[in-house]
Amino acid sequence: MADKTEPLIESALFISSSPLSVRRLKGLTNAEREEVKKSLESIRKKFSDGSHGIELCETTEGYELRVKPEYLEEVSHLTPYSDLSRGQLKVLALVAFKGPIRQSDIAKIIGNRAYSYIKDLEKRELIRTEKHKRTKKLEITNNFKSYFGIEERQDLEEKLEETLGGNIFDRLMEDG
Amino acid sequence: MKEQEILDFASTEPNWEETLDWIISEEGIDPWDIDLIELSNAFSKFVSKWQKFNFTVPARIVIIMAILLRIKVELLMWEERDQKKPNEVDIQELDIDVSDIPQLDAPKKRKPVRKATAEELIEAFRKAFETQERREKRKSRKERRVREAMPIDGQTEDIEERIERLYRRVDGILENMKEGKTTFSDLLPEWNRVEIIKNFSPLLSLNQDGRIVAEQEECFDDILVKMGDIDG
Repeated sequence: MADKTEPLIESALFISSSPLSVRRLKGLTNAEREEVKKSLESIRKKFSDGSHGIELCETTEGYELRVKPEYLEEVSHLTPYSDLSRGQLKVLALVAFKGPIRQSDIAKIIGNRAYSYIKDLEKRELIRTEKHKRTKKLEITNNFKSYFGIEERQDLEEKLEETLGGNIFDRLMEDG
Repeated sequence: MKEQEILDFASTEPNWEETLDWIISEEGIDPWDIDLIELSNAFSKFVSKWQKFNFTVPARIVIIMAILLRIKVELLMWEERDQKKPNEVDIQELDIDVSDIPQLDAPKKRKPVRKATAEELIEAFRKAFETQERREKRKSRKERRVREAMPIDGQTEDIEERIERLYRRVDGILENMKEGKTTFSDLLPEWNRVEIIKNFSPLLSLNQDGRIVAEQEECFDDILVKMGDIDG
């Protein structure tokens, strides 16, 4: 009988709406850790091929199947469910376009809920924090760049200017 | 506990629309999934802890709970209507052994969660600024209202002077009184909002310095004022 581990892992990754850790997959398949890892590597290789629109990603919370960044824009309207809440996205946007930015400045704009959003984003390694006097300074990470499929932060700023137009862009990017 | 979070949020946000918007769209909480009993228990604990005279927050929470209740009731009524289909057939009367019918399992569908896009990030950035502008406008509106409620007659007054004036008034009144205590309302030339605000901080300051002793036996009662141990 053919080994069911890999197809089982593949179907688990497909149906789950949140990342799955190796430990969870191990429990699900009753396979050894090494075997789970081998299956994940095989799935990753299979989907990395240009003929597939999805890929296997390893995040801080585990593994998940995602649409490849190059196709995301064209298909994202088909599902309203983003893996970042509107509040988290607001905080992330401020860090991306205004970073390094102080945590206290974000809280002034977003309100006290900003602290829990910051914690979530830090856990997902999309931002990093550094102690700064009595507050923290926030910056985006390389993980952020790979999440949005950009090389440099400047790429995002160009997109921002293109989308909003020069005047609004200048006003939003003003200091303070 | 999400019910407590709702309560915390509702007590800081200015209106119930923003709270409901936050519950549903920002936090992605299913409004049908909110335990209204938990929410009202948390609410009564919150009110008993508060002991402050502010009806705005409780009123906002009552509106939120009423809307959530209405959403749930509408869902239940809809389910009930759905169950009462005309010409419903009683399966017992058909003489069919239901154990013979294979159970059908509907195929499970995934809830497709995707990554946020750069466009959504840009939109969030624009909205964050809109929020900031809204907050600033609200703040300046509040400040304007305070300024309008408390005209300063175009000149500022030294707080130290106001403290000393109040102290002299307490001293003057108590000098001629046998009981050695007076009330805050007797210290004011007129019982109105401006006079209360003007004299309340000096009263606290004198109490803090030990020059007077201010006591309030019951909430919202008049404040009793005695001379303190420290002179001058």
